[in-house]
Amino acid sequence: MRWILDACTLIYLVKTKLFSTFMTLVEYPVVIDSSVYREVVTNGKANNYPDASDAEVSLNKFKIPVISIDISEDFHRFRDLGETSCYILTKEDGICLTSDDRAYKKFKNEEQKVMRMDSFYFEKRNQNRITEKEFIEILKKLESVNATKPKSILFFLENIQQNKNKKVKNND
Amino acid sequence: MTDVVSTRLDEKEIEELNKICEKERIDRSALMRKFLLAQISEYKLKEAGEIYRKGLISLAEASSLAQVSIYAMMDYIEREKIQAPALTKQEMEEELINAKKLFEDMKK
Repeated sequence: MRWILDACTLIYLVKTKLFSTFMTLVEYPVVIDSSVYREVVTNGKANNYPDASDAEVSLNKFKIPVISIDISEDFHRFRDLGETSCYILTKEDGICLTSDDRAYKKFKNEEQKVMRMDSFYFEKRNQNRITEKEFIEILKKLESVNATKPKSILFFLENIQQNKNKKVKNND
Repeated sequence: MTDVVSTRLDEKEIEELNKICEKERIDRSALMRKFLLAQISEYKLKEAGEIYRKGLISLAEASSLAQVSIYAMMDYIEREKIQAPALTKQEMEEELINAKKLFEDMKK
């Protein structure tokens, strides 16, 4: 099993400076494919986007493997090289982590393992790997870069509250 | 390969162009080309942004469609305050079940 990051997720983790903490929360290897690397790092640096250099530093720091794959057979499924390669890597073995609802739905429709980034952190909260306060801080950071939506945040907060209410009821 | 494209402008518009040419120290043909290409790029961004807003394509697909980098698409989405439709409550609930199951499967 491995985690596969799409281009948006990688950029958002770098933008929000959550990459390092993210790496402490994953139990399985994290990989990206060469199209995502080219999109995020190579092209980003060529166009002077500071997040591109930060992404390169983070990927090097954690020795994230960059996998090259042939996407020619599956390119028709998606319009984007990076998304196609994430699909192939996921199909081989892995879970694609995405912050994009449309990409999430497409992967689900293709019956691939996919998880939204905010749900990943919500599960980490449920596993007590992060505190509620940390989770809310993460959601705020993700929202600041459009990696999650107010509606999603409200949903998670309601869910936390419901779980608390259940615990109180059970204790009574 | 290049080709000549001509267009008709009124005096006032030509005057405006000439003023900008002087300011930018660029000939009129080069200036018009520059403006035209910038508008084509903006048009593509707008078109892709609208499809993204409707939830029909992902951000990565939008950037491919607009032929811009994913960073440029992100900047455009932020600048224009474009939001793709959020998942419904039912979809969110299904996603939580899905996420939980994926983590449970990992433990096996």
